[in-house]
Amino acid sequence: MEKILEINNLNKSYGNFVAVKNMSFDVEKGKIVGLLGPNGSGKTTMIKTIMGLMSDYTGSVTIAGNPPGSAANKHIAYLPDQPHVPRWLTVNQAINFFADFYEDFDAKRAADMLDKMRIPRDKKLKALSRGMQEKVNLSMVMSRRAKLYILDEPIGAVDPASREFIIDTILKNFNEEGSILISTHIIADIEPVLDRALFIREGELILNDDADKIREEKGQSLDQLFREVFKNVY
Amino acid sequence: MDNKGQFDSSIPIFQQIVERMLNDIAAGTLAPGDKVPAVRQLAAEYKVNPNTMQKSLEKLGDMGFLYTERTSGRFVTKDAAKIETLRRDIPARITAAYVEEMAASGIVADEIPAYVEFFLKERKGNGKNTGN
Repeated sequence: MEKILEINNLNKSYGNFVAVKNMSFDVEKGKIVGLLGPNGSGKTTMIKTIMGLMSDYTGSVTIAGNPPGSAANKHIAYLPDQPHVPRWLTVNQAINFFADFYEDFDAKRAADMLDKMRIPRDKKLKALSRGMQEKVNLSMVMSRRAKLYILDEPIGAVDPASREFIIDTILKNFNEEGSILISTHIIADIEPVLDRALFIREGELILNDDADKIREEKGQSLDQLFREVFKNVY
Repeated sequence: MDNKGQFDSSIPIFQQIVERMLNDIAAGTLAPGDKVPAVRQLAAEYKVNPNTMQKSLEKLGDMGFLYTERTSGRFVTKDAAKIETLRRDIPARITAAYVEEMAASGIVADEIPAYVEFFLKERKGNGKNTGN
């Protein structure tokens, strides 16, 4: 089974603070993996390392056979937890911006997705509601034919109806040739779509298993288990 | 139809999908010989991971309720006897669970039929009928 992402013994510290400690895991092609942990647990540091935004780490990170960098980034579609599309652009301009930037971007798909969501394409992003902006950002990312999709808190700041819609969009645009890594601390909504759950606590991987297997062995949902495991962290 | 996206996340999801589809086959909602939609579409309808849906369909295939035609896809079995056995299995299981629960609540066995009859009458009064 082809591995889209391989992380081996990753260690990253900021001065004396150990952000990521000896982390190792793989993401196979065609899987949806949940990177689950509280804020500050090391998820963002790990994602930044994958994106080539971190230096001074030890261990290896391999994305579709490439180390972090520009060659790897061609294969990654990244949805950051902060708005990343310039907000003075109109939606249509944003589509063009992505089309220019990424060879694998499917402009027609993006336009269709946004039309289905009834998002006015001639409006500037900053004129749209927060929820609509999230949908635009997600549509851009899901319209790329990438090998690794990294979604950082995709349903974080959004109302329950929009959450369901976003999860729907992720599933409808699921590309078997690629894999999806969802980093979040909001477990309940997302857990039915996960193949695998990775629990991260204070920089360490404390659980890495098939979602249904966890349910069977623990007799709990991932959400319940998460609350139990991270009870004392807050 | 509309509880499709609702699952008990504390129980393996693939098992719940298998149960649901078995219920549909027993009820005839998935009729003998019906073509089953593609994995991706079903996964999106049920709002679950496509690999989980694939696993469920394979399980139903192993159980003999679905068969695959290499070029045209997955279909519901036409084996009427098998479906009939399933039809009897499901209510049997539900009844067994119900009786256990009633007994655990302290209801005497003799009283159970009276409860069932009462609610059946209520239902009929509300214009619902049992069975198809």
